[in-house]
Amino acid sequence: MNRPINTRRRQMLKGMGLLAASGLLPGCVSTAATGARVVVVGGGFAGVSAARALMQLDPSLDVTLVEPDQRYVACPFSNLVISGERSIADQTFDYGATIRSGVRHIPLAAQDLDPINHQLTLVDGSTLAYDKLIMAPGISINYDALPGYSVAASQNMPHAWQAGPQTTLLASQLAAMRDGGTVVITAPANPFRCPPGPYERASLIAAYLQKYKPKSKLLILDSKDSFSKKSLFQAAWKSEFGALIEWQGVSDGARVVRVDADKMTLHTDFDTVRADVANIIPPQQAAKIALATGIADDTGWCPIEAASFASRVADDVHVIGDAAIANAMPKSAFSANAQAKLCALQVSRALRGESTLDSKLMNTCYSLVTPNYGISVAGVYTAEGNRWLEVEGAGGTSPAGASRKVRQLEADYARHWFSTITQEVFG
Amino acid sequence: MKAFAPWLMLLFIGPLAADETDARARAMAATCSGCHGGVSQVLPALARIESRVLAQQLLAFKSGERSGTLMNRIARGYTDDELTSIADILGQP
Repeated sequence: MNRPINTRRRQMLKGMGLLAASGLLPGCVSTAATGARVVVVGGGFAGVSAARALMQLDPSLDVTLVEPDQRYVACPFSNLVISGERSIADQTFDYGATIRSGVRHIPLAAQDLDPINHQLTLVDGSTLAYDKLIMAPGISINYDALPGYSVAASQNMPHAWQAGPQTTLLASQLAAMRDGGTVVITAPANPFRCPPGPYERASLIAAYLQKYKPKSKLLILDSKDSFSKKSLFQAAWKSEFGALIEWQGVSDGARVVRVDADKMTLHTDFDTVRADVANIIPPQQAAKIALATGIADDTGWCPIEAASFASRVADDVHVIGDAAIANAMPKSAFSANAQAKLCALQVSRALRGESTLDSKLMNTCYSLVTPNYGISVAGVYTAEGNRWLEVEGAGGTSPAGASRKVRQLEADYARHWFSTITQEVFG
Repeated sequence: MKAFAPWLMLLFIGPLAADETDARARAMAATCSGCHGGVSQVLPALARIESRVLAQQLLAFKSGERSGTLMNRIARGYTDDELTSIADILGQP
């Protein structure tokens, strides 16, 4: 990504967009409410939720989903695939129901954006005109931010942070590992997709090791000192797995600065660690289409006006899900789905000439420590200007010291949540 | 008629609110289906509950009079009026 050019481009886009919106440039489109064209980029929880909500809000809309894949492999619950308790098929969804609901699916990747003329270019060179564009492209792995890590290196040291072949690769490496081996998981600095995810993964891998390879160790090298549900995870690790999991934070010198995928070594500021299985959860940024079109800023994520999810870079473009800067709202499937429904409502209101609605959003992230031990973190959020802020006094984690029954209930609710949300989005 | 909607995104159906308060309640209620959508054996299917009862329960979660695993933490994020209006949208009249 060439930042100077993109910064200039962003300034240009915003200014030109204003001209287009006021009808001063040729090629700009009318924003009649009925039959308006809405293009959604990205077929994950955010994009599909938005496309389907739009069809429900206004069946006259012409809604197009731009997503190169025919199937979506969901990240939530994919840690159970790694620990051998779930099949990747159970994580895989198609767009059949979405198409049947009236959404047009174009199985191509988006390549470029011309917000002045309200046009999206696809990889085959074709263009799609839109009245409103919703970008829900998710994340990309920021390989440049971790020396030694690359697409090729991820074949030896999987990230498994975009579910699919990477998930099954890590599962098979774990299955093949000798008893007495060392599994190393690296966790990135904030922000990243699914903040409790690395620790749920460590837990479920530990449960697997304890059962099948009890002489093994699991080491977490973390690029931060605090993480989501830290005290709950650490208490559970001790009670469920004894000394199997060792966690080291940035203050312990655990920040991984380089990896060598051929030698299977990880290098921190002070030390070199050799792994039998290495799961690199790498630094992340918004998906490439957001970087390439300048919708993302220099942080690598997409700035928005909170309540409407309108891009602060280009007019008539909205950004939802993991790619958006939603501040206190974590990058989770629950957040993505909630943001998508509100964004769809705001877009349909805007197309009717109605004002942006002030609303609240919520998020819930369940994590499994074992298949029978669930914990959660929740939050309620309000939009203030460019920021989604947590409502004070609400939200927070499951209580410390809760009974086995409560932990079992939260594990049951976690499974229920996954089946409910995937039914709503893909069913 | 909102009985037993298979998914609560159907909340959006209907005349789009000339009334901002109603639109806001619908927008807030739409997030509940993340867990409470569908026909559930595990969690209460909210569309089967009377709005009045639902409002009482939400307020009881907020005050702590009723304890749940997660709903206390959620309910504290909303004003009493917001909880009542969400219950009006989700429940049976």
